[in-house]
Amino acid sequence: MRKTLTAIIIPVLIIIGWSLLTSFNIIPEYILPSPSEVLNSFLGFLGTNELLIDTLATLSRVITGLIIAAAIAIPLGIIIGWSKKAEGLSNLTIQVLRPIPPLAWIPFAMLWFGLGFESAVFIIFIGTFFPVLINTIDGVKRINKVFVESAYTLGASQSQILTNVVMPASLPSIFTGLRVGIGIGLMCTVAAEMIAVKSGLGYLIMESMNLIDTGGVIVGMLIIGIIGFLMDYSFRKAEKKYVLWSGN
Amino acid sequence: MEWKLNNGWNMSKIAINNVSKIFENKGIPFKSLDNINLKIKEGEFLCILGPSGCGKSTILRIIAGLDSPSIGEVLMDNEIITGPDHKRGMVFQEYSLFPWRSVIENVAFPLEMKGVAEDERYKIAEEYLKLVGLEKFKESTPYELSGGMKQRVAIVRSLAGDPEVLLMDEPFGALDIQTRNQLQKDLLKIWEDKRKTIIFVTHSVDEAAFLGDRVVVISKRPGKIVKTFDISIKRNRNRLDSEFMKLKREIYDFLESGE
Repeated sequence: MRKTLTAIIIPVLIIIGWSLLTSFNIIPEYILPSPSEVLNSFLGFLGTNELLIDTLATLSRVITGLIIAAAIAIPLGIIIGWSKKAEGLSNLTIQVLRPIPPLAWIPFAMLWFGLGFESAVFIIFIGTFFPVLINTIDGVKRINKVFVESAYTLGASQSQILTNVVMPASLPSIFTGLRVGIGIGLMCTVAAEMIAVKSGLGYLIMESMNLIDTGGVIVGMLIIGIIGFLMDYSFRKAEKKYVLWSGN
Repeated sequence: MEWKLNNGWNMSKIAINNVSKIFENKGIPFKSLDNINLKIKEGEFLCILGPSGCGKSTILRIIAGLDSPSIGEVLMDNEIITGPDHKRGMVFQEYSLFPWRSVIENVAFPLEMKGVAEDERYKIAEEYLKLVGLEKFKESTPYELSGGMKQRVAIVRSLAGDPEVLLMDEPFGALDIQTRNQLQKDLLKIWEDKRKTIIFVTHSVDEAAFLGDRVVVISKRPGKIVKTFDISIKRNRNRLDSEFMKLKREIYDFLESGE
């Protein structure tokens, strides 16, 4: 309870300061809308289903992109982290592809998948794939050797070691990768929606801008922030549940 | 096969033949083990005694199949060891329990790898935990256990793999003296009960003298066998017994003159 109170001190101060600055016209309305303006826009959105539909559109894209990226990046990362040969084979390619911003793929995403869901998912896939891959590789490489050697002397085969030792032992790093991935994925989605897709929170922000509804822009921004926070929070909960041991 | 049984030199469970190990450190090769020859009988409790850095752990790792010799070969039942195998269980000095598994899941691990059904392997694992008095902790996670408890679990986890030879690399090295003495007694009880061949590496004269049928002394860099003590003192050995103290003095005297 005390923690929650501490946590909301700064948001409350920001809202108070923001209200004062805008209501006394120190900052004019066209530069920054007042909190009540934002609330008005929010209520306006609630009248239609627009906000809910856009939020769900963004969420479904992020989650689909992340699932596809994780399904490929985790097994691949385990193989690359485990096998020196696989690492030597793939390292240069990864290091060159990784720094390319996911948004630079937008032209090809539009060319290959057109405007819409697939395009956005592709961009999110690119954005989340590398953090998950790199963290998985790193996690596998940092596994305490004694776990692997113990497993060998207890009669485990290499494939049994990969699934029963390497996979669980690198789970904390995999979770870190997923959490970083979610953040990047959300950024990619919104950016992709601003350019290549005609729905979602990014699109909502651009539309509000076109209608000079600056309150609507802030509503979109805040919802993105809250989604990101909730996703990260649920991941941390899951992490606590499944990799409880990593804390000790 | 039968003619082999009639030849005395073939009777050993483990035979280390002319084993040398050369490591490379920043391009400079150095000899860690120099021409080790050692035969271990089935059911024997052998202690390998030596200072840190003498390569005694390397001997154990080569027997386990986790390292390979640069020269020479190691045989188990007359077959060359080429890699790790559940027939040679190993207990490490470092805590090696899988932290993502509960205590009983750790002990059941080797059975799970063999494909033993879940009910069956938990039943067996629980028996093993009873052997070291830890059945009450079966649902605990490893980090809830003390150091001595962790090593007890590690020992029975190895046993659950049903090894023929148990390799122990200073397993009690990180424990306080009371815990250590207690675990030595527990280990001897298990050894007498299960009749496994045990090869136990230690740098403690007291520990080697208390546990072993035979103590092999390894010299510092490169590791060479410099002396073998056959110990005829009956178990359970009493540390305060004059015979035991005499033996320890003999080993200490040798170490001091030899170095």
